[in-house]
Order: sequence, then structure tokens, then C-alpha cells
Amino acid sequence: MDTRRRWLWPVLAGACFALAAWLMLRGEAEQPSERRVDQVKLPRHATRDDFERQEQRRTWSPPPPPAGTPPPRPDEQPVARDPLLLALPIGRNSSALVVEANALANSPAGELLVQCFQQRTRGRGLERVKEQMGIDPLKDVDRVALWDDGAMVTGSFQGFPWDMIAERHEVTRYGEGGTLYRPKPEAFPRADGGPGGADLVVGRWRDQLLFFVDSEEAAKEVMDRLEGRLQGGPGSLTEDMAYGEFYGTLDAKDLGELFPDDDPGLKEAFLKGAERVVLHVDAARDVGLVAEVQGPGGEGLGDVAKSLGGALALARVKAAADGDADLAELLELARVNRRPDGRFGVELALPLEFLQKRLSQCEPAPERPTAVGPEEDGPDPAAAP
Amino acid sequence: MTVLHVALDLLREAASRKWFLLLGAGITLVLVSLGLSLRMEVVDGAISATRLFGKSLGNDIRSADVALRPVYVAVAYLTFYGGMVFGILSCSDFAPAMLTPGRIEQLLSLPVRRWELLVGTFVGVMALALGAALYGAGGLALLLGFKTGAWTFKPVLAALLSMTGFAAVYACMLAVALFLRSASVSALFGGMVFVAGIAAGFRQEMAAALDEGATRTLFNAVTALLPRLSTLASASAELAGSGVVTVRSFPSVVAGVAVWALGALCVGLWRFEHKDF
Repeated sequence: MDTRRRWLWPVLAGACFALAAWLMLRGEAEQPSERRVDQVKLPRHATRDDFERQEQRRTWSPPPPPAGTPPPRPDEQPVARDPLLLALPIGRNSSALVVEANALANSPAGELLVQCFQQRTRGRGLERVKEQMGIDPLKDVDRVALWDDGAMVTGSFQGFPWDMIAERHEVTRYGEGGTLYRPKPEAFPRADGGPGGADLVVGRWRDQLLFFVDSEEAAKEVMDRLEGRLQGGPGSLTEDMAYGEFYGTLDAKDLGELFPDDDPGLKEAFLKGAERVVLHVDAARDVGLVAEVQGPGGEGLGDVAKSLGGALALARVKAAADGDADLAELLELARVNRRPDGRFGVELALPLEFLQKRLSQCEPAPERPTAVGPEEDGPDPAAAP
Repeated sequence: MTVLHVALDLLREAASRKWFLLLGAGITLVLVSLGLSLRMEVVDGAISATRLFGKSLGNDIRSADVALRPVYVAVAYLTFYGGMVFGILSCSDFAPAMLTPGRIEQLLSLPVRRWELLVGTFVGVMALALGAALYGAGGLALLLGFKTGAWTFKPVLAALLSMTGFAAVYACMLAVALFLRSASVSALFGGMVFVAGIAAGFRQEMAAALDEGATRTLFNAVTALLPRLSTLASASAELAGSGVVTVRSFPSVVAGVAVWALGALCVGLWRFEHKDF
């Protein structure tokens, strides 16, 4: 009995240590799944890569001064500019958005979007665009810009079916490198059968820039801005704002209209305190969004920041209460960041894993029963207007 | 019941020690200072402004519970590592004091079994550490809950978890004191288990840095037996912060560390049962 008691504790100790080692080794091979929520890169400022890209984009040089003009001083030497930014509307309050289409398409998030698009079009979407427009949207399109009354695409458009477009448009040369395509009224009948059913003017500049505006005057303005004949201050988007895969500026009044009506106080505070919103999205891996709200400063903007912060917190609680765990997690990463100069940024992070989960559910679009034709099968460049 | 009496005796003894009075006063001072100097403006559940001693902290406006996560994570790490270091230093003297010639004979002459004496001491120290951790973490959770309306008791759960880690360290200290009656040696061994336990949590990463062969095998074999204190600390911080513990073997690790503490206590009991005084 005494011998038994003598060995009781050592045996128990040995058993405990063995059991402890076994318990602690269990599952050790499984690496902890790290949450990447706080590692999403937010585009708060331009990076070295962005500066390099900006440098490469400066392909437009101003024309030499007319003969007889005195040469400019060294500090007044004309500098090369980015043609797309030059072509955008002038003025702080104009809205303009630029999508770095090529960079986006080659990013993990972009690849997911392309994959989803292909799934929805049963794998034929990109091929159709190539066949009908003569360009590969993943390779030939560099950037897409949108503003209040126009859109612009940069890239390489040698393969674009210009001849086919010319058949249905009046073609005029404009400026040094521009061509304007105005729709022939008879080529675009109205719904009642009369002529003049389209007024969209297509502009082409040196096979590297293509734009669509709603009038010939607007098209000429774009060309004039592009070739330096029209100068009236900084453009709506300046070079220092051109970073990320998606960037732009939005008039606060336009954006305010998108606010839900269930919180009129927030909408009112936003419209009163904010002037414009500068947007940047980084999609190099995850998707990080920073929307900087700018305004005249003072108490108004601070109140907007507080209201937006509260709205995000409430939305998160509501999403959690409604059982929408994905949305709740997304809103958990949202924050309002106030700057010392009174501006504030709304920051949102979408981890790639979140996007993968959401975009993996892309279902193919239902097949349409009608015969395949240009109107139903995709965009027809000749009939674009 | 005898175990509880021994534990209560230890708590009475601790109450008379300056270390623990200082700890209690320190935690109270921090909580009162925070209570009086921390100003938080909450709009619709989001913290829109924070001021500590009148100075603005941060510019972010976020949901109160999300904004407070880093605070709770920091408190959990402080409770775990800071509390453990404090515990090692301040509790190293209890067992050697109990084993002092004259006192141990007097204790053994009472109607109390040896194992009850040892387990009572262990339970007393654990109760002491638990009280301090709960007072600190719970007090902070209550304070921030009152100020922001975001109530959470996850920091309290994290504090409970940190006790599992300290149990392993103190059980080892108690066992060592029975082999060599010295507060400093006991503290030294406690410190060694503490450091080795932190390393054990990173054993896979550390092993990968070693050349394959006998060294790595030996390293793996030795560290497999050590309590994973750093893993427990990470789990405790995650629990306090978001409530989502990503350590997949979490329940196993907690159970493993607790069983390891029992094993060390058994070594102490074996020594105590056969030691002549």
C-alpha cells in the first residue's frame, strides 16, 4: 500500500505531462488563420509606383511657341502632361472618375471581376468584344474616364473598326491629332422613323485616346483642352490626385442624392457641409477605398464626419442584427478619419477573401431566346451613339 | 474545506504584504485616473472624439466596440505578461515561507493533510492573481462600458484565460520550492518556465530556423513538453479584442496548459509527501 502511494504522484505527474503534450500538439500543424482585416492597404497618398506611373503618362508636350516669340524663361519651360487629365473638364467642382482598367484587370480583384463577367456571359463576353470592336479590353484599354457629360478611353485603338464607324458618321479632322465622328442623321433613325436618333459624338486622338460626348461643341472643347488651346485653370483631376486603380472627384451635391432617405439629417448635414469628395481605390491585392470629403471647413464638416461615423456604426449593428455577417464584417473595417486641416476621409477595406467569397457566386446570365445579332450580342461600335 | 482554509490563510498573509497592497492601489489609481481624465464623445454608437487629460487621442471615428478593441488587446497582453511577471516576483516567497523551519512543523501538527496544505497554497495564490486580474480587466471593461455604452466582458474572459498560464508557472515554482527552499530559486524557475513557455508558442517557426537533424529533433522533443504560454497570450488577446480566436487548437492548448499545471503540482505533491521536516 505504501509503495503504491509512493508511486501515485510521479505516475500522475507523468500522465499529466504526457496528456498535456498530446493536447498541445493537437492541431499544432494547422497554421492559425490570420485575419487580414487591418492589413488592407488604404490609398491615403501616392506611392513610388504611382509616381513612376504618373511620369510615364506624361506623353503630351505643348507645341513649340510661334516663330518670333521670345524663348520662355527656365522656370516657365512648358512641361509634358498626361493627355487624359488634360482632356478632363476644368474646374474644382466638376465630377470626374478614372479607372485604371489595365492595372485593375491584372489585379487579383480585377481577375475575379473578369472571371465573374466571363461566367455571366458563359465564357463568351471578352471574345465578343474582341470580335466586334477589334480590341482586347484586357490588353488594349489602359484607362477609362467618366465625367458629367462624357466618357473617355485611353489605350491602343489601331484595331478599332474606324472604317465601319466612318460609314455612319461625318468625319472631320480637328486640331493637330484629332478626328471627330458626328453621327449622320439618316444613319440613326429616331424611334418614330425620322432621322437624327443619335447625337453622341465620337472623338479620336492619335489612336490612343477615344471619347464620347453629347455634342460637337463639347467634343471640340475636349480636343482644345487636350491640345492646350483651352486653358482656364486646373482640371477637375490634377496629377497629384492620380493614384490608385480608381480615382476621381465627385461633386457633393451629386453624391448627396445617393444618400438613403431614411436619414434626412445625415443627407442635409452632408449637403450643407461638404463641397466635393475625392475618391481613391487601391486594388493591387485587396480593395481599399478612401473617400476624402472636402468642404469650407469649420463646424459643418466636423458634424458631417460625426454623423457619417455614427451612420456606419449603426449600419454595422443593423447588419449584425439582420444576420448579414459579411456586411457587418465589412462595416467593421469602415472608419472615418479626420485630418488636421478639417477634411475627413471615409475609409473602407475589402479583403480579397471577402471579394472571393462574394464573386464566387456569379451565376451565368439566362440565355435569351432570340437569334444572336449585333444589337443583342454586345456593343456594336458602328451603332455606338 | 481544509484547502479553502489554507487558501484563505494565504490571502490574509498576502493582504499584509506591501507588494499586494501596492498592486491593489496601483490598479485602483489607474482606474480612477482613467475614470476622471478620459472623455469620450459617442455619436450613434461611434466614438467621435477621445480626450485623455485634455489631449486629443486619434482622429478616427469608428464604432465604439471596434475602436476599443486595441485597448482590450493591450490590456489582455498586459494582464497576461505583466501579471505573470508580477506574480512570479511577488508570489515566489509564499511556499518558502510556509516551509520555514518551525512554521512547517507547526502546520503539519495541525489536522491538515500534506496535499491539502500544498493545494491550499496553490489555490490561494491563484485566487490572489485572479482577483487582481479580474479587478483590473473587469474594472476597465466596466469603466469603458459606462463611457461608451459598448458593454463587453471579453476582457474578463481573457483575464481568466491568463490565469491558466500563471497556474502552470506557479505550479512549477511551488514544486521547485519543495526541492530547494529559496524564494529566488523559485522565482528563477518560474522565470525560466515563463520564457520557455513563450518560446514554445513559436516552436514551429524556431524549429524551421534550425538545421534538420538531431538538433531540431531534440528541440522539438523538449519544446513539445512545455506549456504554450505565448499561444495562450495571443488567444487571450484575440478573445479580449474581437472575440474571434484564430488559434485553431485553442481549447486543446488551454486544456494542455491546465493539465501541465496539474502535472507540475503532482511533482510538488510527490516531493512534499516524502519530505522529512
